[in-house]
Amino acid sequence: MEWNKWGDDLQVSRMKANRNGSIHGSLEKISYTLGEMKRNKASYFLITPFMLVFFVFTVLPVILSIILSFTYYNVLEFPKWIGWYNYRKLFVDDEVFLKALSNTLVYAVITGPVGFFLSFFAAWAINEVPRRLKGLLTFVFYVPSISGTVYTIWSIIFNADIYGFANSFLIKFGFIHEPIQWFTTEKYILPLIIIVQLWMSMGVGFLAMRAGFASLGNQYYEAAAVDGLKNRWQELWYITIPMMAPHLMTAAVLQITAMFANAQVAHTLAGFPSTNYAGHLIMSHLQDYSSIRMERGYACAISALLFLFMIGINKLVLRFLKKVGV
Amino acid sequence: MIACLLLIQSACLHPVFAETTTSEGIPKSTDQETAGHSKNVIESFRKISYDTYIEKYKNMAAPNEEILIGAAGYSYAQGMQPEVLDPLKGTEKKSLKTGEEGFVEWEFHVDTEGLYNMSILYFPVEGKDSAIERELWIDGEIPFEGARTLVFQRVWKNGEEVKKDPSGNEYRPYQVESPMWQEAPVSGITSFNDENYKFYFSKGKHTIRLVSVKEPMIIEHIRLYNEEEVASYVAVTAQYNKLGYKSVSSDTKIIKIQGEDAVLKSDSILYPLEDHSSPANEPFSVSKIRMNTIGGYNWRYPGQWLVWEFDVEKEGLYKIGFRAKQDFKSGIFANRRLYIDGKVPFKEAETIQFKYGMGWQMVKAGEDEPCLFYLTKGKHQLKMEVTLGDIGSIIRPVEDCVRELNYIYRKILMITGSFPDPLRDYNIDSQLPESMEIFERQSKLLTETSKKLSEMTGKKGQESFEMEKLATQLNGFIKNPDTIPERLAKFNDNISALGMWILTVAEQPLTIDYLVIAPPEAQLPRGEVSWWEKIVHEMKAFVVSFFENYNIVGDVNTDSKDNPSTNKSKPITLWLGVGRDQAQVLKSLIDNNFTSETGVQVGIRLVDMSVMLRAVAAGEGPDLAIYQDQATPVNYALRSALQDLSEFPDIDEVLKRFSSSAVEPFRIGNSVYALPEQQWFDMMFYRKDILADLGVEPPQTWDDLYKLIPVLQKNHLEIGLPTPFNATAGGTINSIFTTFLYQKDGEIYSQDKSRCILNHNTGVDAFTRWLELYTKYKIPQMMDILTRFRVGEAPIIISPYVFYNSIVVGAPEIKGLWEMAPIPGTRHKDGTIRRDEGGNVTGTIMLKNAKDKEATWEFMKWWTSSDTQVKYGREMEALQGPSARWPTANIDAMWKLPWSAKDAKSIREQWQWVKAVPEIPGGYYTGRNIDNAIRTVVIKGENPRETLLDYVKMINDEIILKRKEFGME
Repeated sequence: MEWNKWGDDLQVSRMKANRNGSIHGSLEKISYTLGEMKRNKASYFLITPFMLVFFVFTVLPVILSIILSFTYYNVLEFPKWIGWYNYRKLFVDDEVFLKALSNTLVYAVITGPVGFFLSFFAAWAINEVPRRLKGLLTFVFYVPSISGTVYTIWSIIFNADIYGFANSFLIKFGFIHEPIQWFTTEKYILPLIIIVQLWMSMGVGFLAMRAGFASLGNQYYEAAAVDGLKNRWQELWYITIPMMAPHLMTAAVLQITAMFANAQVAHTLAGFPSTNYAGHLIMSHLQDYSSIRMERGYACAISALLFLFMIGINKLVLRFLKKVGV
Repeated sequence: MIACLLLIQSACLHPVFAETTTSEGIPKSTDQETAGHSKNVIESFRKISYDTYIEKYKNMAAPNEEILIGAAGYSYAQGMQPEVLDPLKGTEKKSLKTGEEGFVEWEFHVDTEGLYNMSILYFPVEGKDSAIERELWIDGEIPFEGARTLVFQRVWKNGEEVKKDPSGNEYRPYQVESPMWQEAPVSGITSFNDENYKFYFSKGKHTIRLVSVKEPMIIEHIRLYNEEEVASYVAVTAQYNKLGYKSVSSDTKIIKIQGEDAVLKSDSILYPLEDHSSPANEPFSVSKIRMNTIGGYNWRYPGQWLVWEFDVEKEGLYKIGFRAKQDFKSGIFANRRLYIDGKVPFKEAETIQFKYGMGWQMVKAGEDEPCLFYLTKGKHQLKMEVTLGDIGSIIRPVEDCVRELNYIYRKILMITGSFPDPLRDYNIDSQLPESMEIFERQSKLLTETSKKLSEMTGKKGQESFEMEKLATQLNGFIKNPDTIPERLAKFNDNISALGMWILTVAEQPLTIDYLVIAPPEAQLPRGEVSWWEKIVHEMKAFVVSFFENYNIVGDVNTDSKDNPSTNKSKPITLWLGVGRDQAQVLKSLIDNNFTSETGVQVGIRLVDMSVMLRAVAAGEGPDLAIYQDQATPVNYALRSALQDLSEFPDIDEVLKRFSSSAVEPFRIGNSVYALPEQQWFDMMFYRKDILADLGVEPPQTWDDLYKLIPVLQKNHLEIGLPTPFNATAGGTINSIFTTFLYQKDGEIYSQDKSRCILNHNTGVDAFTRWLELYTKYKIPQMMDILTRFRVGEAPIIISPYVFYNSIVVGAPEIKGLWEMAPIPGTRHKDGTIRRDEGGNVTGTIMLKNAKDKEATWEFMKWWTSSDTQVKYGREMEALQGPSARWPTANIDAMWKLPWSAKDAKSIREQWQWVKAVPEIPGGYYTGRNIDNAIRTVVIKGENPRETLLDYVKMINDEIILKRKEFGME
């Protein structure tokens, strides 16, 4: 009950604010805000612990890293201010970064949406199977992404030895005569990483979608059928997807951040750094500069850029998702 | 005096020497000797086993006669200088000290023809702490395979009482040798044979030769005799009744002997262990570490033994029980032979079986009705030895079978290659007529043996599965020889699987908590607690796990009352990024040898080394860190985080311990930023049997190797080199490249280390030669070297010398068939062969903000000293087995580690050629781009020179950038 009352209050105050308009002095607005804060001090009190932790461990590091991106900083010595130098170098004088950027785009554009749709269709398909199989199938699809570094089995499948699975298979059937160096041949590196990443894409996003499907009641479909829905595709487009919008959004955000921030698969399979940077992602570039070259200032500049990049892409995706099913 | 003695001996024995050489044709030059040796090796797979040997003489009598051969009166020695010693403590006669190389021979006369047991009275003189190994030759040849490896054990004991660290955790006592005279019967216990060997001697003159394989030893005599049969329990009880022995009354005190209190042991890895699985263990603590058991997985090889001592107050008959656990190997028993006061009391005590089970059991000697042992009042010794039991008779023929099938596999491979053309008829049966005969014989043998095994274990399948699988396949081969090439890969898998089976089935691990010697009527303590007690225990353990920090290994004692030395200096903090074993060994070494002498305490912390950088930045770093990889010291030093060690006055003295190549990577200008601790470099490993089979010598130079490659490839064999195509290897400069470069006097960086000069002619030349191995000679770009070496597909491997340990542990079935040698070199105009190569090091660093620099420096000197390095190396090896052999950078220490004399010589020969790969600012870019360069050329087929020049330009750009960063340019 209490919460409801607060909600009403909020509604009222919003209307008030609108009525007052924005032209009449910001002072008025500030005093109004302070008043509101005073009135709702219980709520502020309640979120303080979270905000403190969030600020100290998330917001502050982000700010610090943006500040550090304007310095020369090698961890062991005190940072020196060097202005825009890092950014200048990043954009005009770092070929490897451009390579990493293009790799990341290819990688993210393929694994992101494809992975997302794969998760969606897998979740949808699982939703259609008999109840008893559902749990089992969910588990089977989800397993690759919870079992940690299980993707290393791909390095066995694509082992460059003559006895590696893929090689010995291809040799046996006469496709090739000499073993292929899968993870050191430039043209294979990125495609292989993408394949492995797709194989692993049934992650938390997939679970969110499974939950979404599970929460859809039959009544909507029945009502729609009465209203003249013709087939399953229409069901999907007009009911399922709009109903699942929040889940889809969660899944999309998770998927995209994962695609940008995860270079572990690439490093484990193709090495770090990979041959001629063929599997180099922005994340790899960042790690290269922070741990191998010990240029943390530059690494911070890369991370700041990556941060902006992710925000932009997320915005884009969310805008796109809003249009779906309308 | 000894020299004089030797002179006299050699003078009077000269005729004998002449006689032996002519009659048996002992080869004179070493070259011939190796050739002769290889010949033996080829035939070795067909060598007679002990079973065939004894079958031949089974009708011979065993004369009840003893022949004692005094060791001091040896007749001939070669390759060593035996020393005749005056009677030592424990014997009355003169004895003979034999070296770690060469051989000694004795001549003696046999009066009665027949079969004899042999035993040797020996004293394990101080060597390199590894087991003593000898080959036994009779009348100039090895009588059967088992005589090729005779192992004479050393005797070990705890070097100290079990001690507690300040936080109350007990730590493992270190093990010291406790050498004593032992009369060891020559038996096949290390060759899957429980029996003491019998040897046939005709009437007349004979010679016995002991060829040293490992370690020196002192021998007093060799005895030929015939052992008495051990009486059965029934006979022994009859004896008890006759002599009127009575069971002790049930109120006699139960004697309990804690397993960890074993007074003597055959192996240094049989140290007390910690077991936390049951609250009934004695002693026990919920939260703290207690050394409460012994044995475990370390006590699994036949021949390993433990001895306990106990006091008996009342004379009479007792029963004996063991609180033990065999939770390692399901489906088989762990067998132990029980000796009381050095004797097996009756037949039933020869194999006491411990069943598999997850929990602790109370096992009695004797199956249903416990066997009774007669014990007099006073001190007694109880010894338990790992024996094979019946399984030995199963393993031996299978072992021969694997050897033979491996041989035939290789023969077939030489015809078909690893990927046979499915459309071609190879006619294996007519090309290799012997193969069919071998298949038939072995398939029959395997079927019989597997049947025998199922009968023995009472279970079908599981254990005999590997044998049946192979037998079925062999039958298929016989029926349909055309399918052999197709099924070759599977055949190889099956052989390997059977090989692994042999290795594991002979292992019989057993953990012992305590032994009980009790009156026959008494109730023995139970083996396991009830499930309820168990749950309570687990809950308690869970709760205390929140309050115990196991990452601090033996924290320093801050209570100055206990330890007055703390007032003298502050404790040093040491960070270690490896395992707990290393930390514990180091801690006990520090406590016993460093703190006790200098009064400086050292706290060890197990840390994930990736946090080191941040910790140092936050001022929370350690005083020093060990096990740092080659690039770290220079990297940190350039950012002024490390102490320059050249500021200490005695640095030059300290650096003499290492080869200059080990220190080079830690230098910037005249400063030194780390002391080397490990150094390793490539050696060449080759299969003696296969090369001899092909009639080729191991290559001395790269030109030899180039000539050899086609010969090998014609037979579908390969060579294996450290590969630049392993994507995840990361960053270091490939050692084959540096080998080519250094052997032609090339350098990676210019004199002042300011530029990469691989674009000069020697660099390009080395690069071209290196990549030609892949483009022109088509050596495999990737391979699993251990597997290929084991099955013989790659008879030549160049790899860091630690690979030696991998072979010893991972491929024991090819023991004696391979060798380690210096890498191929380049012959120069004057005829000498240069074998230069680059090596790798790890080092110990001191942080700039170390609190007490003098004390830390003292510690670093102590840690890298020969004495400490040897102790550390041996204890690590004692703890983790030979695979953990420590590749120390201290030259002096290296020779004291348990390498055999021959291997040590090879390593020494190679070590003098090792040159450093310098570390410079931006150096990480060099290895990375050299790899990129060769991958680009080999995989994409670009022009080598242009590619290399492009990459060298990139390397130099990075170096210049980094040099500017550090104000060096």
